[in-house]
Amino acid sequence: MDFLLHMTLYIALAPLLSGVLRKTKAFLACRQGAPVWQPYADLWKLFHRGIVRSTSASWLFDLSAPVVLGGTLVLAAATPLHSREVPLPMHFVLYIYLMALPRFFQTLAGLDTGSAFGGLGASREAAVSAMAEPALLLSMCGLAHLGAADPLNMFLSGLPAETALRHPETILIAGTLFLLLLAENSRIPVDDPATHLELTMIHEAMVLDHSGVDLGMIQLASSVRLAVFSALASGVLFPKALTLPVYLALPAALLRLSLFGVLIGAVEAGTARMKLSRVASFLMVATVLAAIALALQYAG
Amino acid sequence: MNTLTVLLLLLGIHLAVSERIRPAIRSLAAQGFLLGLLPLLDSSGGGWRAAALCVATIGVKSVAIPAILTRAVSRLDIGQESESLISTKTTILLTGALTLSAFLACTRFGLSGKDQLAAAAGLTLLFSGLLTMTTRVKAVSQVIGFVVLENGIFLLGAASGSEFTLPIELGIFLDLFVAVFLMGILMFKIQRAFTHMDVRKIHMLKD
Repeated sequence: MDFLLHMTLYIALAPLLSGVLRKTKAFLACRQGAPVWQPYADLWKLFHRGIVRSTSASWLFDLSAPVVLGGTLVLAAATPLHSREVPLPMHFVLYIYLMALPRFFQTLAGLDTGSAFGGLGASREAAVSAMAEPALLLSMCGLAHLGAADPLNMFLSGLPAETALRHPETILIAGTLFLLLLAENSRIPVDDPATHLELTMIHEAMVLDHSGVDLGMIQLASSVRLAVFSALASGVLFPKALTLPVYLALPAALLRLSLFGVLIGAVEAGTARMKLSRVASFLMVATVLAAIALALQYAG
Repeated sequence: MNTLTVLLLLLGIHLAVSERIRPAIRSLAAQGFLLGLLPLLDSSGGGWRAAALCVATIGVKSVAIPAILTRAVSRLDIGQESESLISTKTTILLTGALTLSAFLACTRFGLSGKDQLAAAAGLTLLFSGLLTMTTRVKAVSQVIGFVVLENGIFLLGAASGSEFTLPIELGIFLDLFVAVFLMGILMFKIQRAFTHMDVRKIHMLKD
């Protein structure tokens, strides 16, 4: 029952997060923008379309979209959203590898079709995620250390329930997670999700060859992935929201995700896309922040 | 208190790695403001002394010095980039290493809890200020590094547990203010004499 509630919440709220994000971005650019529920309509449309498949694609291409969605949903099952208890507690290293699994299959599919853009996007995406790995590992280490006791259990469940203000390292970890969110979800300072030029695309170039139901699954997976990162970062910032009774926790989860939608939208509207060569510096800063968070835990 | 220290630390890291001058000056002003709040939060509570120190710190570090620097940047027409002798990536790595070594060193000071954190943050600011002073090419950035170094000393002093002694702190402010003021004037002179602000080129002077 709890499992059903958890997963339903993720699948139902994730497109809303994307919708709020796009609306914020449009609002800050003084445009009307699509309604907040537009991502739901897009998904509905895509799930009712047929698939156009490249003649050079193999079974790997057909396999990729379901694996991407499935892997992301397993990730969601391990990330607390409305309570500290998650349906699928897991070790933090496994969690990091599960984050990489959908990306790996998406990269393979991008290479599989043999189109030039797919390979271009795939190589860039792999480079970005490889550079994000140390920061991810260090921040997860920090979270596991905060949760102390039992690293085999879900690392967030042991988070101190006081406000984050009393544990300054949690602010740093949340900050690192936010930078990683931008990099891992192809948001603006790293990649522009709304660009129309294939040469500058990272993530979008990789999924150019997907269509119909496959594209729908991949877009849903992207939204869920964004929601997972937002839930993680906001859970670190507001640990109290995870201990509320269920009737309060659901609106709190909605509020936290919307807050992050507005936040990411504001960042996207306010910053320019970085040169690809500067992404390394960006992720290096994230790594340094995570390392300092760990140092703070030992010093404080 | 802890949160304030961490914010100071983050601003210090931003100052160390930022590539442009104006955002760095804004961070410097924010850092000065947060430093000014520090004596107010000190539990011993010096009453009007703490208040005076707060006003003086904010006045000098958050208003006057950034104003002088901003004026210098806009009048000197030196562009956005604060060029560095080493690449941004090296700077980030060095800053991270310096921060970690500062934290490591502070575990041996025998301070406790928030004092240890403040000492580590102060030492980090001191190191990163030194790094900025030694690796940046433009004089404005070097002045910023000097002020960051000074902020680190302030934080380190706050962590050492002794009372904020008003006359000493005010004396330091006066020194700092005069120093930055003189550097500002000097920058104008350099600009007028050489029509650029690149410190590297001054080494080529001959008589």
